[in-house]
Amino acid sequence: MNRRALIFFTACVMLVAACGAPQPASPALSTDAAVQPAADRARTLILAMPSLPTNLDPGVATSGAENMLHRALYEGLVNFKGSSTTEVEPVLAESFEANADQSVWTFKLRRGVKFTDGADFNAEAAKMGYLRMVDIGLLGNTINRFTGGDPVNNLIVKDEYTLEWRCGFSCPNLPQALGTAYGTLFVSPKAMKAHEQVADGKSDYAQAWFANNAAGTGPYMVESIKPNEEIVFVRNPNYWRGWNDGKQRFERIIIRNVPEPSTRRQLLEKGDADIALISTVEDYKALRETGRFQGSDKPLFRINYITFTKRGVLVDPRVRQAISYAFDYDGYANNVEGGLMKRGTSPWPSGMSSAVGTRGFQYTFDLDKAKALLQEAGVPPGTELTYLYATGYGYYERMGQVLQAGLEQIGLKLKLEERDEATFNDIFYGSRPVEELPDLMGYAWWPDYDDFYNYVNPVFHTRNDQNDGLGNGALYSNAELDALIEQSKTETDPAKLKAIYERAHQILMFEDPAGLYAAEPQEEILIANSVKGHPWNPIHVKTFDFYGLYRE
Amino acid sequence: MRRFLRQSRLNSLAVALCALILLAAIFGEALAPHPPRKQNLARRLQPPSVAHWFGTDDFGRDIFSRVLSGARISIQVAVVVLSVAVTAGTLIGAVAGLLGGWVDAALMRLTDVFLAFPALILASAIGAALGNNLTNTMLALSVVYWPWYARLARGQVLALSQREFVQAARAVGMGAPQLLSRHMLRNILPILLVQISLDVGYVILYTSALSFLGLGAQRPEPEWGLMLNDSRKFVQTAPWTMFYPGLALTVTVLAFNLLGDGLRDYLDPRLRAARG
Repeated sequence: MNRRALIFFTACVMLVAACGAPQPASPALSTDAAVQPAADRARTLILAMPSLPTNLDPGVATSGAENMLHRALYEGLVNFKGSSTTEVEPVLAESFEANADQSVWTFKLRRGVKFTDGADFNAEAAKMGYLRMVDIGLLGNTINRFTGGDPVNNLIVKDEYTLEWRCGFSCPNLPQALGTAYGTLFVSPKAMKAHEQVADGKSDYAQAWFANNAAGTGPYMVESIKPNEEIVFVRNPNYWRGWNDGKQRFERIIIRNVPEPSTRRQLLEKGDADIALISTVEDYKALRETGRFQGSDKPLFRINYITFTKRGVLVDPRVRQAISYAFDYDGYANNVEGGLMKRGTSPWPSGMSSAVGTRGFQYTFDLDKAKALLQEAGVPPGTELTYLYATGYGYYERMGQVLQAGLEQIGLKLKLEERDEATFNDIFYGSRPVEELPDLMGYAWWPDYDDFYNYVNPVFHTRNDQNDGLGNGALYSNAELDALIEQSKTETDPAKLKAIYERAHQILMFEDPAGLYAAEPQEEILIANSVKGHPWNPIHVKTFDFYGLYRE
Repeated sequence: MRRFLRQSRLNSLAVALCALILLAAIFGEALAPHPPRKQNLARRLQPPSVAHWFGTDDFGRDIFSRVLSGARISIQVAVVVLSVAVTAGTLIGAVAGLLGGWVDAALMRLTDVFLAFPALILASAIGAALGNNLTNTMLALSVVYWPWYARLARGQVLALSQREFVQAARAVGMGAPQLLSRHMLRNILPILLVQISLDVGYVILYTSALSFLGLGAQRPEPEWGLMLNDSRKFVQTAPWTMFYPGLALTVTVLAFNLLGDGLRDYLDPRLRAARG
């Protein structure tokens, strides 16, 4: 290379670096706002998210990102009211009431509601929707639990608009259980019948069709899908709540795949996105400080944690305890996450009614104790462990790096392996044997509603270890814990429940740790101030009641 | 050496910078004011100050110490990659040029296969297939670089074969191995040196590119490309996290390029004749 040209080029590179030149957003993303007439832009809600799964089937897809899509297209009987985690309000149910011992609930359904394919919503459709959920097997836990495993006989169609629900035990929290958007949303029975494939006498419940198409009662319909790029929803013109209440609700919703965190920030700052997931603390705080964006200030009902796979040196609980002692919980939550997370103190969120709080065992950052435990367990210095995490969210990587530094000080090596979300999900939710799993994995879990069983069962019960879609990806198994989980399923005595919670806490935290419970995060979503109506409900993680959102 | 330095001020600058970089590579970790991997979470993203000359990164690690330590990784990779590539490439090229015939044809077609792939793509593919770490990066870059040295060596050997001293040696019955070691290698060494000095910078650049893409050095190694990748999130809020590793990379590549250019000019017989 010509020397003068090289020097000039170098000087330019250095100048650009010194200025911290922002990366340009991709042309397709940055020009939209300029191209769109202002009125159109105002009527369009644009979301910039780090990944874009496109499975639209509410009976199959289990991730938060997918659930966000489902809430635009489908509805259930009830929904959590505003930001409450216990109070529900009717949606497709008009009203509901229980018998004296709260073992039988009667739901009066809303009349005149139609699916987008023209089918009527009624009690038969509701029952069919629930049975589909159970038969597919991924999201049927709630329905199964509250029907004693026999939804066919315990969901009774009393008349066209009355559904009787028999739990078989006192189930005061059934309405709360149905407030979740996981496993409770109804698909059109007409579309299901039209598109189902039957092989060996077994229906696939039109899973292939519902993966890419939608027929629900929700406020929006699919306009277009560009895989890995964007999904566009448009208003359902026949939506039962109507569009003429005077609020400027959105005509279109565009959900864009923007993996690069700095590009998401720029899109939000420039007004090219209304909602974005902001994955660095600095960006989040800087944007909040502008006063142009709204966010949440309270922790979600969610734990960000690192799973332990019980294989190799990790079979010994002392090694898992040592690893848990080698994590700087306060430094991570207060500094690395800038106080936007609360340090982890329990396998399940501290805001839940089952929280054990200070009664339970908690780890401190104690490297001496960690070293002693490793020595006791006979782990050779330099032992290498692997930590797998999904790209795009930031906090999984940050948790890994903080743990890596702690483990280095006690003589363990931690290899960080980052994979795109689809690959990570394939490993975590797949059916690999324990020998083929990474030692540690970054994961997060939240309950569908404020309930111990609902939170703990999918992620820690042995039976969920090979079941795609449920959260026991590290194949954790503890017989005593399984028994406690089963007991909690129908137990209503507060004293017995308290004992269950405390014992489960002790097992999962100390005696046989299933993970390193790092932190309880706040929602890392920011919303432009012009968008109103998001209640920041800590149970609805990274999802939106799209009908409730409007521009002001 | 003195003549080389006097030839151009840029030569002096190149030698000074390269010497500094080599010193940093050898003594950097020992001289670093803070352990380069040690986190101090309470002092994350501090701007440059007396305590932290280049500021701190998002885990409170001292960027100056990491940049210094990163020099060792970069130079180590360059030395290993070029040692393997130069040795293998020169031998293969020289053998092909000396023996000619089907040996030459076979070896050169093999070389062409490797040259057919864009360097970074080939290195990325090899790195991705073998696993993401620095050892595999070195292996991948060695695979990328040896064909260039094979081509260079073959061309030089073919040119030298026509020279009288080589023909005289052949006439007195000198065998190919002796011819290679006594005459050929000695004569192509200056050309190789120029190429090596030019390639050092590019090997370092490729190493950083692979680490930036997640295929090379892994966290928490203080490798410049990896540091650049980790600092992308802080372009707006903490630009120093990107600036200093970027500066180190730029200066290193520039220094070795200037050195290579200077050596080429210095060793070019036409220019040397012009200088008298």
